[in-house]
Amino acid sequence: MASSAFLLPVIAVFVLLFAVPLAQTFYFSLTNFSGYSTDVEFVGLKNYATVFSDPSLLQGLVFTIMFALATTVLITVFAIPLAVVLNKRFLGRNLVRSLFFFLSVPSMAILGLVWQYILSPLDTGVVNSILHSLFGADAVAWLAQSTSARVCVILVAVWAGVGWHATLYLAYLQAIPADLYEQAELDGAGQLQQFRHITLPQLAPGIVVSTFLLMSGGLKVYDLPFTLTKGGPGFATNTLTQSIIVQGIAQGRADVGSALAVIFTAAVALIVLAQLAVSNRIERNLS
Amino acid sequence: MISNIASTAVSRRQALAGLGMASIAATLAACGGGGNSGKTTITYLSWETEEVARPLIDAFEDANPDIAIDFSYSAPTAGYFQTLQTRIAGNQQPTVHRINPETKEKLIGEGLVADLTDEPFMGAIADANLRAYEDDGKIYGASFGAWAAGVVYNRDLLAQAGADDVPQAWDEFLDLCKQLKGAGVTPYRESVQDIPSMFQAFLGAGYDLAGDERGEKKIFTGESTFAEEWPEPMKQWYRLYDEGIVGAESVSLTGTQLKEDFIAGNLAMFITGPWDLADIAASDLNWGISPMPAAPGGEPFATGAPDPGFAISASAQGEELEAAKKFITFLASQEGLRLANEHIGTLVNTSDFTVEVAPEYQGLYDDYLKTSKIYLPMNYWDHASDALQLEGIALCQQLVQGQITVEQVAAGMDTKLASL
Repeated sequence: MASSAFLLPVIAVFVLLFAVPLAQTFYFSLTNFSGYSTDVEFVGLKNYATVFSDPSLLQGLVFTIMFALATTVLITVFAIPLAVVLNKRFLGRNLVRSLFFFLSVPSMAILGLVWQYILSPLDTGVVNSILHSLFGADAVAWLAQSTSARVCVILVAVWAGVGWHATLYLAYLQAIPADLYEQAELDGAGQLQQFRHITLPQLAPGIVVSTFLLMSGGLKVYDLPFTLTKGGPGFATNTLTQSIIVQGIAQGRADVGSALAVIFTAAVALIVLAQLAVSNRIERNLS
Repeated sequence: MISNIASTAVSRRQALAGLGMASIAATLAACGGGGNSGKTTITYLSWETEEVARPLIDAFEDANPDIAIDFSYSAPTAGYFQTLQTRIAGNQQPTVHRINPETKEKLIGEGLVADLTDEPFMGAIADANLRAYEDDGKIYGASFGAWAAGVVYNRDLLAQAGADDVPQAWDEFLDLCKQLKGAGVTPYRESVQDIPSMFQAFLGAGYDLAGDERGEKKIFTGESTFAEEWPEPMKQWYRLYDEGIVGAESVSLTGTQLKEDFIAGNLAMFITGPWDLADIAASDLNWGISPMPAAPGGEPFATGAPDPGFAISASAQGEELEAAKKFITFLASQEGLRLANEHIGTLVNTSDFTVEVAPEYQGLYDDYLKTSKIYLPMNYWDHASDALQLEGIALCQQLVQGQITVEQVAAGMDTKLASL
């Protein structure tokens, strides 16, 4: 009883800062609230119809899902082997670990601006300069075509995220008892077999945590595409969060922005819950 | 029933917002130490930092000892209007705040700002600035400055093609670009991360020649469409791409990258405004700035827009309203304009005040900025200008990528407008 009293401040904060705004957002999504006038009218599902008939919003939905899935898969695929390597003994191991971890320290918004320079379409752009000096290649406008812009945004996010997730996996790797590997070696298991039958199952809880963070973070992505491509070219790298902010604030369409936010919250909740269910099943099968 | 629910919910929201604002107000009052007793206090939401705005505030308070300004700041542009929106929704609208093209529809349409049409301080305001904050014959924003962008050029690089200035006819401009390209010089670059400036100038020049002060407003009254207004000037601008002078890299080029490329001596011409001139002047380049060339049947023109205006809350009454008017009267005075230019860098364009500008910029200032020969489409879009601007940028980017035609850009704008 006494211990549950400690929960009261947390519950109060949760209700005041999360539940109430969420309920208000749902309410506004059913009105014509502009963000300015307090004189609102009930409009039913009109704002939801607007969301589903706007091509730019649908493009934003497509890219957001593409970004979340691609970054989750690629970061996981690269981070696990990297963690395995970083877990071995070699000269300068701590420095290498720090370097990889450092990539995730700056904010994504800053990284976006830095990469905008690296991927500059001019001859003087970093990537173009290197390609020209090595192969005599002409300058490439990396962010000026829809497909290459999408690939660049995803790869920059992977580059920035691999180190942090490798560090997460490293913590799980260090918790694997060494005698499991010793026993496997005595039984004649090779490196690949040890990885498949010991490392991967033991990492399953870490994979669940990492992919959960990646998927939820990927669906909420805003800062990197905004600073790197501003959502362009066209609406190729536009994201849902960008649309929510632009519609709700910049355009004074808090009604449509609220509808978008409600759909987004529901979609994220569904995807993340489904992902957790699948992850838990895989974890049980591997363990 | 629904209206009851609505009013209940709104009053709860107001109550919450009121509680929040009350706590903020209490905190601010505690900080302020109650030094404004006996004075009329007006609230002012500035988008200049206090350090920059303070000389104006102090000068006004010195001249009006019976008035105190409760100053607050929010960074422009999106953040500023988010703050303003939040304060309005919480019944805490500042007495004086800024109004800009993207927000005027809501602020005027919702009856949130006062009609300033007949105020004496509006007397010297430039035509473009009056038009920018006009609705149905009434003016709701007092704007004292503007900006104008032109073609910045490297004289030494132009000389390689035998030119000493930017040609003022579009065909000649394109010919010069081709000559420069032939001489191994990058002639011209632009950024299509906004609606292209050259196209905007062609639009403005057309309206100016026709004596049409309403510009694209006709689209929003149903008298015209983007399909009627845009294709001709857009086709002229698109010749840059059609004739191979500029490539699709424009889509991802930023203004900063253009400026740095120009300063590095790699670029002969690009379009920019006052914000870049200090950096260009600090370089060793032999440079100049010229208006945009005239499209066939047009005239040289400049892209530009009035500064955000000062608006007074429609709910201000009595002494508060009079104090707010006095504040804007001071901002419109010779001292106020001088301080604004000195501390904020306002390029004043009122008929009763002239500022000193860089010698290279003098022509643009005198002949375009001061005479209202500047055009920015968004200033004439009476409805959902922000949404349309985003759509316009995206469509122009698709055009540059070769995905759609000029006619499809215009049709896309009409479709977007119809959906809003």
